[in-house]
Amino acid sequence: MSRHGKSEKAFVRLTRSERVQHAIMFVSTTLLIITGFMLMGERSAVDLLGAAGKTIFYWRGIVHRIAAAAVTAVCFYHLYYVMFKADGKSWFRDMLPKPRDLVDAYQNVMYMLGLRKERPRLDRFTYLEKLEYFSVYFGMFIVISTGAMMWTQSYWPKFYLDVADALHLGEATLAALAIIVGHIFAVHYNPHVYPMNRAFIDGKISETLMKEEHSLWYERIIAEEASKPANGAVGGRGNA
Amino acid sequence: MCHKYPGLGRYEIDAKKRVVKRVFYVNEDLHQASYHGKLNCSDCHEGVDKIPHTGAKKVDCGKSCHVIEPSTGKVFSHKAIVEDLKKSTHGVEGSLSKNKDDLPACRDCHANKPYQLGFQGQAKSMAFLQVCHQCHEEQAWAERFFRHVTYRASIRRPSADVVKLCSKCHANPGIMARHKLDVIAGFQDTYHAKAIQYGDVEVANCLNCHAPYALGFSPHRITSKRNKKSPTNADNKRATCSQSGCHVNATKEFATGSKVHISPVKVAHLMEESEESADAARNREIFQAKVLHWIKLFYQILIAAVIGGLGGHRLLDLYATHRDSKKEGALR
Amino acid sequence: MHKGGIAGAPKKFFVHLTMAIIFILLAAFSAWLLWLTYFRDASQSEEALAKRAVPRREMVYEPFHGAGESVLEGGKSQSWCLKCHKDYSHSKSKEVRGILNAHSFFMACEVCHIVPKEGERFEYKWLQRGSNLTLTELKGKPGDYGGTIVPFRAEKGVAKRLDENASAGPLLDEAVAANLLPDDTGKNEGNGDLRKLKDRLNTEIHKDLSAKPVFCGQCHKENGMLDFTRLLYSPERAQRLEFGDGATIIKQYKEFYLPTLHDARSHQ
Repeated sequence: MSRHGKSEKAFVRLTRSERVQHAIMFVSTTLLIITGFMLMGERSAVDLLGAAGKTIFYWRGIVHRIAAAAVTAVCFYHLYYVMFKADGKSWFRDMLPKPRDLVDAYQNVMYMLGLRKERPRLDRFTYLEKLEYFSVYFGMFIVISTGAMMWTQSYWPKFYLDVADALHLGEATLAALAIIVGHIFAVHYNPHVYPMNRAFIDGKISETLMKEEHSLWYERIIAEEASKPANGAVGGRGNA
Repeated sequence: MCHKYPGLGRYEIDAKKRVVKRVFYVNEDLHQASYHGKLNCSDCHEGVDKIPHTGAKKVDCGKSCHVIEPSTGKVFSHKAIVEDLKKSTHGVEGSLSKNKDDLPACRDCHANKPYQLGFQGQAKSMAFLQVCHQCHEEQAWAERFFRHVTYRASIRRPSADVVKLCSKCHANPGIMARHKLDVIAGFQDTYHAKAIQYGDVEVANCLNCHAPYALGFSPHRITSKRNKKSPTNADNKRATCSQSGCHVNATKEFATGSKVHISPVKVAHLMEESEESADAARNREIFQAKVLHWIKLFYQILIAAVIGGLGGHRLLDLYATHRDSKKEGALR
Repeated sequence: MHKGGIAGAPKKFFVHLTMAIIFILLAAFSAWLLWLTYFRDASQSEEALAKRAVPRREMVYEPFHGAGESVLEGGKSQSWCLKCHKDYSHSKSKEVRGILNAHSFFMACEVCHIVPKEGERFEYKWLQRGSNLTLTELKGKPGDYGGTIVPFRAEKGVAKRLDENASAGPLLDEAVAANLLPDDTGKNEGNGDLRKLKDRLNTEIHKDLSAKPVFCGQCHKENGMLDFTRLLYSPERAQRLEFGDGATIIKQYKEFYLPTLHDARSHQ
């Protein structure tokens, strides 16, 4: 589907491990959102299920728990990944917020408003991507801890469970909306990548898109390649 | 004679000044198949011997019937249950409310239904019924007895119906206010209610907690939580929650930590109160309501900020991209 | 997409369609989530609960002896009268209101409330409940053949229903549009225009009514007002209606039944 032609040079955006992590996260989050918000379903919609409702409800709980376990496992693996794996360490280093991100955000907004001539030049992760990434840390902490409480409900005071329930619902709503408005838009409906950014499948990013959206990172990699002519393979990880 | 006509009925003003639709139609087939199918009209409706029925008395469910109760050989009567109800929180004697106007009578909860089983149960039982007929000559008797047993052994009232039934009064703010009670509205937000809505039959309905048969209670002996013996009394709640098949590991804190189905209306009232009222339990309720409210408010604000910001940013980006492509086009 | 892909037009269309559908689904889901977060609580306020509580008029016991949906709904002659008077509309004469309602379950109001003039003959037909198709045979049980007896008057060769009078029609539509009927909650009470509309409607719609309705004995007798065999009853059944149950009961009721004169204008 690339609009930039086949022969174009490509760079590695997501490693195999990152793509697997993303896939598990994607499938289980979708299931969690569906099975979770089924509990908030409108009465009239639930009534449409009729006699099948009982079975659906039974599986709803099981699927929610399996997906929750999967997503928790991925989260813990990701912590291990960014702490101990070389690719993960560089990922996390590039992801850390810097003062420069504030400048980027300001400059980008000014540009979009037409008050600045050029977009700011961005590095491997844009300020929005960083925000999204660390929001997931915050969100996962909330939903996993409150979810675990509700899973072991008999051992908790009822009021704590009420609090857990309120937090779980609030965070889930926020996450679902953020995924739709933020993430799905960025990787599917953004005209740069429509109908989809294929990085989550093949892990690659085209040279054109690199120049457009991550020009600083692009320059870093090119400079690195130039300094190490022996390494012929295309697709440096940008680990300066 | 007249009662076979489906339209026989009227609106009338009852003792509580409510407009009540009275349906006097009796479907003979349904009646024959019903719990009371063996009884004649006048067995319950005394004084209806002439037309029009000027001397008709109110039906008394506590009267003795002409039917013999087989286990004792005595005449059958619902009297014991009527007495139980009288002493329960729904009865004239047991009610803690000063206002005795809205107390339910037998009719408010019970109708003379036919013994019905699901299609499958029915099909199975009809074949099995032949076994009964081997010894019990009177076929109609055997069938009624068999239906009685099989029907009573199954779940009689689906949870959704129990909730609907109790809600007739307990979700009515007017009636509840007259008795200084909280409306049941909070129940629909509980997990129990949601499971019931999907058709789960295992999950607790009103009666499983307020009058569990398993713990020796019955709907006719339902009591206020203020009664020391009540299954919803703070001292007994743990036992109620940890009934077999339910929250068997329930701790005391789990059972008593907060209200199970506090109504949003009551929460709204609590929010208006200050925490300085003398009652410690009340203070705790106010505190809990406020904490939950703050969490909700926190997320309402956070969602507005994040989604508003993110959405605005995306729209602006679309606008900018559109503007650029136009510029690009103009340059070419 | 300004550069165009290698994919053909149909494939491209399919991609756009899929993306559009997903977009709509996601947008709807997001909208629902926002409603859930900000507006659902409003549906649980005290006022909302009071509104949802069973309204007084509908305070209906589950009939102790069981009854189907059609019985609870009451008669459905689709007669204009029912827009205001609803089911079980007889309530004045305490002794007979029940038996009158039993009749209005399968008879249009105008059968009794519009008496044919001297020499005039109405044609009576069974119309199927709900669909208003003419029944050609009676199936079911007495009192519930799934239809309603409706009189027709021949006007210039066209059979016309009696309840539908031309001058009241537009007024009735107006009243329905103004939400005046059938559940007039009294909120329009202060509105003079609506009050006037209601009064005019009352006058117009009731103008054809006979001051004295048809009484029981006028049909339940030999060669009464209704020809029961023409109304599809079996000869045996017709015989019973003329001399049997109906006639017997009437005798018993006659002693005390003193009907209030039917004054159409006092009815609302």
